[in-house]
Amino acid sequence: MNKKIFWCNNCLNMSTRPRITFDQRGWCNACQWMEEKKEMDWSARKKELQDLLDKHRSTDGSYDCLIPASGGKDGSYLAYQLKHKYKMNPLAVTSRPPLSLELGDKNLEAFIGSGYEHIHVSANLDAMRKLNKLGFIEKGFPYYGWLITITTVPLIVANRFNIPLIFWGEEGEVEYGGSTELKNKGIFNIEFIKKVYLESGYEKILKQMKFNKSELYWFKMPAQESIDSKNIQMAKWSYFEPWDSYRNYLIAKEHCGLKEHENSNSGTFTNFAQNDQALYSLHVYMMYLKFGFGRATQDAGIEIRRGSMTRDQAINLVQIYENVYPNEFINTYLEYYGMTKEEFDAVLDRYANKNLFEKIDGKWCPKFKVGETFTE
Amino acid sequence: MNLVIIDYGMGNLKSISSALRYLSVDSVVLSHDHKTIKEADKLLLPGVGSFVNAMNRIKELALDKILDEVVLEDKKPILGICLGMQLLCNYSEEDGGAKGLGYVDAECRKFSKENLKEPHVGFNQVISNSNTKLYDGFNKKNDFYFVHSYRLQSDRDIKQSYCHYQDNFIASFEQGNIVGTQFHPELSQTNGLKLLKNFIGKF
Repeated sequence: MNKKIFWCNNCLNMSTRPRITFDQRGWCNACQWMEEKKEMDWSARKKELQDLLDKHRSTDGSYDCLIPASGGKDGSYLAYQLKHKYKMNPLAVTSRPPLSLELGDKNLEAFIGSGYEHIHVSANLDAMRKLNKLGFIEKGFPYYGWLITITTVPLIVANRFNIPLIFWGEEGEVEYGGSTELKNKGIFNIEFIKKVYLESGYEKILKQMKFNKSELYWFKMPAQESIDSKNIQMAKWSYFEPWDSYRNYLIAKEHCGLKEHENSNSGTFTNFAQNDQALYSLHVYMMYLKFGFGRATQDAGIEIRRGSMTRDQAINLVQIYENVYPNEFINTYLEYYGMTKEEFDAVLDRYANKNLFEKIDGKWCPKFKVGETFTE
Repeated sequence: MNLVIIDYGMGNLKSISSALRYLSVDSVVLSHDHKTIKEADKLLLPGVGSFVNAMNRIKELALDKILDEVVLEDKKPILGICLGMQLLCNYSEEDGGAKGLGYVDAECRKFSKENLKEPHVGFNQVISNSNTKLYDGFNKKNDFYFVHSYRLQSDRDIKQSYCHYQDNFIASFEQGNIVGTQFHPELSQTNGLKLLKNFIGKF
């Protein structure tokens, strides 16, 4: 192929990251945006937000906006802002993740307990498991079923309860690297979700499932015509206000009962991690095998952009902490998917990018050195 | 109260400004202007990156001169964070070695043990020095968030508190009005905010 593989000159985002772009300095779009959002005038966008909220604000006690939330800092921040600062009447909604972990559950409970109305959706377990397994095997995405529901559940609920506005938190592609399509656009449509978040093949995978309509209820998008006729708008908060996860944390801790990690876990890098579901570790390991970067690279990028780590330190860390086979939960995965270790590893082998990795003594090892441009 | 974060172009200062605004400091200014620094009630010296580059920047902007005046003569409280803490000291062996601002008698050396994961990163436990204002109201042991490859050591009494990684190193010091933390209080959850509050309220 002779394709050049390289790393962002500011963080360590890789050129293999889907939809990412770089400028002449070799900075990725996440790092460019980090600079840009500090300098830009946000007043016009804040006004847009105010107008949008004024347009939809409910006067009859019905819900006027919907917030997909997990009890983590970001959804909690949005709920607090919408309810208390902007005096809206928000409803929060959560799609229960497969193999959820204790800390995530506690946070959700505390969030609801701090005074927010909430719907907890548990989609059909069997369909969820099979879609996750199919996603794992067919797309290299171990919680594909849940990924679908974090999009479809809010849409179904909004459609059902006639809630005119759905707010998601940050636009990940703009903040962390990827498509810049939504950089200057606050409102988006279902097509964007299908294209970017579910990538292609969503309909195809649903068709492959031998389930009846009721089992797939929470996995299917409402008809576009219904969304259009009700004029349901989907928006990203990070368009209207500079996204700052630390600020979100401060608000969530003070007002929404966000728990802290109590263990000091000396010297580990990932103790800030996303800890609400066991399949996340598998997801980031597969991402590493497919693209050459995993959780350590992503977390290091966030540290660099928030100003607490140098790129050289990040390179060291990535070399230490990336490429860790998810041993911790391996039995949980095998039991959940109903697979043997051999079948499971065969899937991983299929997704390992052979231009980037070679198998040495049964372990996939990178052929590249982090930060050193090479041709595959 | 007017707090100036000294901005000499080493790193993103958003988290620390957010933390201080959250703590309701009247005025938080990012600046390297001498007059602004001279008129501050309290100073904060942040820093991420190379010790040598940071010292060069400080000299280019003649910040060492104005800091000598404000910190040593006017005795204004200053808090150095991470690299900012190291810069307040005598010397670092980073990049072949360089002199720091020299206010505190301590030296900075790289973590060197074989197979040690470096940088030291994440939450780790600090045994606090109870004879300090910085830890007023704290328990003996508290977790703070670290990201660093060099650590500070001194055989003087600079009211240091210790953390352990490879060996005991200085997690913070408090020499009169001159205070430093190797960890990032602005990234250390509740403990970090409490410590910043002490710096704002008790110095």
